[in-house]
Amino acid sequence: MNAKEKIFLSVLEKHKGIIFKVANTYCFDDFDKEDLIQEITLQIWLSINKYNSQYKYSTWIYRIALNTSISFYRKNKSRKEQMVNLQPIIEFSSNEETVYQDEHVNLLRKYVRELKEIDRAFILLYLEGLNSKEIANIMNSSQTNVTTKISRIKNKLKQKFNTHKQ
Amino acid sequence: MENIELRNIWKSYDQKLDSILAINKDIAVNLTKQKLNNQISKLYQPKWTAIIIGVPYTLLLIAITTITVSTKAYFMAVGFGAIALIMTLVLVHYLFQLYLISKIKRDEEVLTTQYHLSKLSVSSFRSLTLSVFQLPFWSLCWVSKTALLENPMVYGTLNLLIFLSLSYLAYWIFKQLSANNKKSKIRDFFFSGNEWEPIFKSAEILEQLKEYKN
Repeated sequence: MNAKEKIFLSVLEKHKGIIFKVANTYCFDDFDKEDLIQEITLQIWLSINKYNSQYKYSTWIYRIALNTSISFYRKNKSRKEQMVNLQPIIEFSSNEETVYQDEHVNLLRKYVRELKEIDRAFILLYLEGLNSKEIANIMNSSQTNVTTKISRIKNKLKQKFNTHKQ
Repeated sequence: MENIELRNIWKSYDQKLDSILAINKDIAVNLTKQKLNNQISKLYQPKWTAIIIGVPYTLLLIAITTITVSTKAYFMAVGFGAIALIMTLVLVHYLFQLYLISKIKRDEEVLTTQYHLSKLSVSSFRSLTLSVFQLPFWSLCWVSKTALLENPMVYGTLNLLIFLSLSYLAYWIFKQLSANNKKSKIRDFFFSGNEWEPIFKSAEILEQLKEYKN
């Protein structure tokens, strides 16, 4: 295994959660999700030589994962035929169902998926615990804009939760 | 529901996920070997092909226009001149698309990359629909000055009607193919849902991006 492959695998290992969560937020069926994870992984491999060390690996992974996911729908149905038939790159090592037992988690995932593509990217980064400066850096927006937009999206989500309660 | 709660809900999902996700390293390395073709580079090929074919075609149209002007065949000159102009605009679109492709880097900021990708998709489609406007000008290319002078009422009216009908048809097709026109049978006739969806989605993303402009 060469040095590039070692870096690639260590980045994947450390940030597999980000790749999985982003793909899960943009793809609803398992087949598409697997295809998207393959594409994100490939884009990471293709970009690894250009990685700029002034950014954290996580920032870089978020950018690649979000850009690939938002662009994913641009491809037509033929991508399913072209897909390399491989086993999943990221898989569950134990029972997947344990993740989705909490009703609030499922509702939040559902409501996030109902948002527009760009709004989804902003709220995902917020939910992941990033601050407004980091989000602005990933998305290329001002911090003020990020704060305003996230507050608006949070209100939308809260409204959905409240409507569900009633 | 407090702000903190949304993050807490997500955190519980995050923690559970992190503990049970596993990377299949062999498959990840194999994938890079099997699909090692830069997808952005693949976008260049059809654009360059269109330019390589389009430039000599447009030059030929310009040459015909110049010849017809010098031989005082003005109807042909206007017809071929207009077609050459439309083709030039289409080629400018293609050059703009090549510029956009050179700008697209998936590890750059999300809003910028999405803007370039969406613009690329919409511009590709626009250059195609722009070509529709060639239609009425082809009818001008065959108008005979001699026949017009001999029978201005019948021949002139007939040709004017053909030109106006084709102009309206071109405009109608253009409107039908417009990205804002969500329900168009004509578009469905030319493009299947799978071909149209990426263009329509790109137009939608451009609208969303407008909201995020500082």
